[in-house]
Amino acid sequence: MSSTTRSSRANGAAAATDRTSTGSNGSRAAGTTAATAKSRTLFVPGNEACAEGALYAGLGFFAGYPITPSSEIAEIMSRRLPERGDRFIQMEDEIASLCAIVGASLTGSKVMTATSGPGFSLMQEALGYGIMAEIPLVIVDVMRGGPSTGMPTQGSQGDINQIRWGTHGDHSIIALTASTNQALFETTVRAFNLAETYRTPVVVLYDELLGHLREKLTIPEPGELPLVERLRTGVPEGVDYHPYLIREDGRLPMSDFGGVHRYNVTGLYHDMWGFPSTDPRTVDELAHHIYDKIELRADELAQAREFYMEDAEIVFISYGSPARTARQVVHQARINGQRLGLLELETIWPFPARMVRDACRNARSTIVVEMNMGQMYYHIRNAVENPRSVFLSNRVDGRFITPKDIRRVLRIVEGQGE
Amino acid sequence: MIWKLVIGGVGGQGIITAGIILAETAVIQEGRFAVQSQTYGAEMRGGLTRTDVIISDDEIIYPKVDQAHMLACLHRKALSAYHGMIRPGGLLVTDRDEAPALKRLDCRQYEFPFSAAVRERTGGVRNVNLCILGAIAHLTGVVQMEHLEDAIRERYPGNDLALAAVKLGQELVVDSGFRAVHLGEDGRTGRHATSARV
Amino acid sequence: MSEPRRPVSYYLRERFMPHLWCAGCGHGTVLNGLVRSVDELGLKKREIVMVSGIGCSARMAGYLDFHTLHTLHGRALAFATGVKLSRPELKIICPLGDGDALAIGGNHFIHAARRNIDITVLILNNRIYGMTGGQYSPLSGCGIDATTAPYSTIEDAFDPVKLAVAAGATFVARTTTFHVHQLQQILTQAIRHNGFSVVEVLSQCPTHFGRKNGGLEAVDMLKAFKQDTAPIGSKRLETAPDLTPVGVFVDEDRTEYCERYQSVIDRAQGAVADRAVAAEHAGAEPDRAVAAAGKGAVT
Repeated sequence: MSSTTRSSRANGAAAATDRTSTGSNGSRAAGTTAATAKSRTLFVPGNEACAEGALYAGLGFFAGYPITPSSEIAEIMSRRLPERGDRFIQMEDEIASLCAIVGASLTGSKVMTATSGPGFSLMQEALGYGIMAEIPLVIVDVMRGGPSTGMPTQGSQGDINQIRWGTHGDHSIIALTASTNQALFETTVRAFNLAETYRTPVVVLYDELLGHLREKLTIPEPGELPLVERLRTGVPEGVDYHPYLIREDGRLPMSDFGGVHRYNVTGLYHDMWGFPSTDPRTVDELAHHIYDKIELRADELAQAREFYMEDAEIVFISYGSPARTARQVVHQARINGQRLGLLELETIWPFPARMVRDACRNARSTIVVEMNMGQMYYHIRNAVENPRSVFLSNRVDGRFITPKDIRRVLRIVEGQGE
Repeated sequence: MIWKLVIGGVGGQGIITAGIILAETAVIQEGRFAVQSQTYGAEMRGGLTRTDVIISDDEIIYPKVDQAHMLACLHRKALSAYHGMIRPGGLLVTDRDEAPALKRLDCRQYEFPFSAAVRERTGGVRNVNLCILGAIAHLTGVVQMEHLEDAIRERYPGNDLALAAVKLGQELVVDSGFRAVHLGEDGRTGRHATSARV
Repeated sequence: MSEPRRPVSYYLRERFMPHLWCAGCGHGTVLNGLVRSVDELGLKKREIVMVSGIGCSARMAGYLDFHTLHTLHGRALAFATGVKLSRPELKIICPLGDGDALAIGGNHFIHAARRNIDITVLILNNRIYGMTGGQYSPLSGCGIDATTAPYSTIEDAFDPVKLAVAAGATFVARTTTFHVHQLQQILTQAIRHNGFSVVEVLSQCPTHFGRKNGGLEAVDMLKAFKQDTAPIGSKRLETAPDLTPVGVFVDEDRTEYCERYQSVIDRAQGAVADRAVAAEHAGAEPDRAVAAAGKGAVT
């Protein structure tokens, strides 16, 4: 199997220490954890792989509200967190859940909530708060069919755009996805690392199919995957600490609530003290800061897996579990001598435009495979040099996209009829 | 070698648990690859339920079962809903009383009195799902019988009834005189088994 | 009013003054009482987290030199729950307005009360939405003029005290910005109380409520707080039951939420230990047995 991972050292571990020495080949490919003496092999659904990833990353606080198909994550946390002396709470709704984890994050805990589309819609306001106040958070969105209550027990990828654009105001966000339980585990760890590194909410999203698909998960031994811990200020007691004074490297060291520094946190535009401000310069700087700290690092944050891309004439671009179907199609086509390749995106936001453009440069056609009406397709069209060479193979009926579905589109794209 | 299996029934019969145990045996006990997924409605009990299991020596890319090498059914509703999933020449394993075999299916049909035998042995209907697993393992060799038993021991420590149900499934196959079925390199089930009914 | 051990200014962020409250607003009186209570209790500034929502009341957080979290409209108690459960040793105080507490935030209010989590809530009840320009609130009551009630309101008000009691708050009191001594005493009791404590403070808004309703000035409204209230259990209240009772309505002991959560931790850790022992007896590796026991329920 010809597969490579394309990424920069984007798991954030490097950012804490040495940004310049990390090149494009320093990263561990997602899904590559090998069984070792101290690793543990489990057979678990995707939701449990995600939960295990969070626990591995050092999750200390979880608040959530049950919703299919994500509820298993809350159930696991309600059992596992108190075992470690950590805390779980079932809040009165998703709004409260996201607010509660913001509060807990400010005390120094690594925090997470998990939901599905309808719950994510309710979280949008507090998500904006997390972005504005620069709070490290991880939000898991196990996608189901929508809009509205939609199809609770069927898969979809309909939340791609709501996680990016759902909260009001100019902002950016980091969102990661995966197509196997092993990759999901590592993606979740990476989400915590990026949340801490960039002081921002990070979304882990995947669809119902992966959430409930059981498969092998090897949990690496402690220390095998790098973890980014909270960057705390070194400013001593009695000396002014400026919670929102951006360091030269773009980072903002934090101080835990309950610690020696007392400061204000607000969802209003604020100055370096965290105090509300409408001063145009202050507002302008902050608006650019929360946008640029992510968007200007799009290349660095971009991560994807490539399959047979070296000489691909037709490139599939997919993400999440539909990428498995695309990979199956590509794999079989290669056996038949067809030059197909697959770029499986693992970073959804910030949109990996350069990576997509490069991948499609030499392709005759690009086929985007996703389970929505083309939410990623339009971004991919905008990114490539020849938008007319991009086609969509999708499915929105709640059923998992099949190799047959993709091959049908492939035939049409290739002018071979249905 | 890749086995694609579907087990169908109605909610409350332990269909999904059976699928999980089968796949888990392959992964945890045998170090192989497996995926298990399920389809179910909002009903906790009584609704149509199906679990898909793929077991392979290599990484499994596409996780859904399209053409099943084997379909096992514990309820007639499931049989009528899912019989089209069996690939031509595949296997159909059913419960004699709960899901009587359908005529004119292009597959080899095996009927066993799973629920009747479990009821006779234990006086209840619990563990029929484990009984069918014992039969599947013995009939197909998709997982080794002893590994299945190990998996049951780990999952239900000290539960002798669970283990007995698995062995009962094996006995039903042995007593029926069917020979084990093997999967050919071409993905077709072997032709040396006799198609017959109990 | 007791003499502060430290000057009030010790607790203020004077850097961020002047404050934005209108002349005659009652909220500053509440801030003053609160600071004196904190001083009386001898709490360190770093032990206190003030979590507020949105509105005039919420700005109190910015002016106080505690850990301060100025959040979203109505959500203060949800944020506060996260802070408290994560760091139970911290004292949490939430100044909420009408909307924060009982309109958009009503659901969070009743659930926080139900949990009896150790948070002190101040409901700064001025019967109006001040910051947005004088719209009616769920505490306005019937027959009030507001910018969204040009023909006067037709909705009855919540009784925050009754609501808090019914929802399970273990300390519930009411006072006014006229009763500054009682205000400080009650706040001291509320903060000291280990559990969910609610203090409704009737606070005047001359700018919006007063102006729209008969041109009341701050002094008129303070006089009304004096005339229209009576202490719980007083003769005056008996003879004039239409008066608004003030004082402490509920002060009961019930195990606080974070303490109960500690018992969850104890049970969970006990279960882990039990499984490890059982696994050892069964001859299995403890780790593996724990992993097996942790397998998810069938869905």
